[in-house]
Amino acid sequence: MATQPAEVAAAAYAALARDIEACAREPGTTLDMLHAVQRHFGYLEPRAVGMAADALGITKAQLYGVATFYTMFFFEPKPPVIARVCVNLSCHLRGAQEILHELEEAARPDTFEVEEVMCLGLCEQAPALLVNEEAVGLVSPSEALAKVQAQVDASSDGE
Amino acid sequence: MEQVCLRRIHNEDSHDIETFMAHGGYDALRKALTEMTPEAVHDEVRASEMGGRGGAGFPTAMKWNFLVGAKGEPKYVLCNFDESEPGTFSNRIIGEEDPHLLVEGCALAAYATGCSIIFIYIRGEYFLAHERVKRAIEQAYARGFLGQNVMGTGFSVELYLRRGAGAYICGEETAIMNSLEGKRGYPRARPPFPANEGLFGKPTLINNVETLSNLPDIVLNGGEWWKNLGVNEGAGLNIYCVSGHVERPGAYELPMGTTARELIFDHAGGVWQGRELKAWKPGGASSAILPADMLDLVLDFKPVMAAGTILGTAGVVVMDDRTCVVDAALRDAGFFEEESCGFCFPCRDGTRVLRMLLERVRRGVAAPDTMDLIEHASQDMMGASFCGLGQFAPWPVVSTVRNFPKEYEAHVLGKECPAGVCPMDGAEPDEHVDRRTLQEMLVAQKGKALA
Repeated sequence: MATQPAEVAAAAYAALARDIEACAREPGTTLDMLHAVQRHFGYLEPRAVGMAADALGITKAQLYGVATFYTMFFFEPKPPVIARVCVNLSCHLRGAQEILHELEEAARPDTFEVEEVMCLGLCEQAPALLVNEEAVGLVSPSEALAKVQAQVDASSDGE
Repeated sequence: MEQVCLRRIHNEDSHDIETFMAHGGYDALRKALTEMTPEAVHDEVRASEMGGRGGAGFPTAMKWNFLVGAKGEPKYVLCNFDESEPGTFSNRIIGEEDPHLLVEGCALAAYATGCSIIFIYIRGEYFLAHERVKRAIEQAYARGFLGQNVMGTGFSVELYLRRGAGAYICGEETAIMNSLEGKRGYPRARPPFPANEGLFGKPTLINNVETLSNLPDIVLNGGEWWKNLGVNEGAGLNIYCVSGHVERPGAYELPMGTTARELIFDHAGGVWQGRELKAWKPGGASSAILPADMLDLVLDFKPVMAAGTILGTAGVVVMDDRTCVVDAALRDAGFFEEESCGFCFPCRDGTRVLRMLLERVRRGVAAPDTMDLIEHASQDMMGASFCGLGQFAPWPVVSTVRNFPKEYEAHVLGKECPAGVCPMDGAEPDEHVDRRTLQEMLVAQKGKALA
């Protein structure tokens, strides 16, 4: 995502502009606009954040001030897959630390990144994690890694 | 056994409008709009004696009363779908498996309280639930259950779905409004209360997903019927979420007033692997960690409060006899430190102090008076924090000091973890913390520095 060819970037800005326009027609869509930026660029790309700020009629600094409150937004380019591993009590009791360990050993900047996150609301499936948007639960460390690896493979196939 | 919110979730394609309508879906909305006045719907909710399922248990009908008298247009229904309390996942299941039930409940609440715009604010991590609710809203609009002139009755309501982006505090009823308005999710002072000056400064009704999802059955069968589903003086049904060391973790919709013993042993299959139960929590991270001899506690708002803690979201977490309560408390302490929004210092610094103290206990380097320090810091946080997050954050920690003093003595004085879980390596925690803040807080309380 970090070094997009110019035409890919132009298409992403155009698609984002359409999303922002749709958001701007409804009330309370600031976070939705930021989600749209991240969906198109993989992180809060500065120029795209500027487009959202303009649509909202606030400064870029104000919008960054909002965005930094929330843990799901990224401020720099990320690997194609993010594994969010819950480390709260229910998952901790059923082996979250082992999963965290296994994934951290295997993570590489060009494949996936591991995040320790607070409760994902998947407690009945503990230990649980989110692999990008996919909820994964009731897994051993090696099964968790296989799920992550499958998404990494899928993302590289898509390019 | 009677079920309300979870009755349809095992149907094939339960999230689709066709399945929902084949099982009585939107009948309640039709009945309310064609046969009942808003007051009549309100009366049924009053008869149900339902307490809000978001955690506080505040009587739903009374909350609605505040809206009816409030001045200002438009009035909003804000459905709090920011379910983030550790150990709690009932809202997610409704959103994923029966999103139309929620949509119908939202529309009923709007009709009864004179609101014309509904927002559902769902936490950012609930990707599947978001997708399902979004589709349900589109389907409901297409069938005329939302929008202008619903089912030709003259009632009009708009429903917008909004996503959060990772912040536990946004489940707090004033923080969720700030977040929806495009601000940082800090809590607001009350008064003004949301019913008078809420979202965008207008009267706002904030109800939890489960609260709203009970409304269709209350309208169809009557509030009295719903109320009588409870046991041990409890009103209605409640979804208890069970996780941790049990054989069958899951969401159990049971009579309000079910005891912890019945829930854990009769429904969730008991402690896993044939182990003994050591400790449990009744209501998510914000509730106390309780000993096994309190298993006969009736899991309803009042009895749990009388026992010194909260039922909250009824997210029950079970810990077996290999668990170390210090280690367990540290998990909750770490959660609250991470999720404190930083707006007020008793919570911002207190959550960090508690986590640091536990870290030292776990390493075997805690000062001999650590239990007193935890008690003092906890009481300061409970009294001085701006919102519920900081007021309840100390509970999992201080409750372990009170309920399991011998474990702390073993760690602090004996330098030993009885469960063999803590490292007890004598290493000073590698902290990037402002030790001066900690020392100043503790000096103020104890008149001496941290050892």
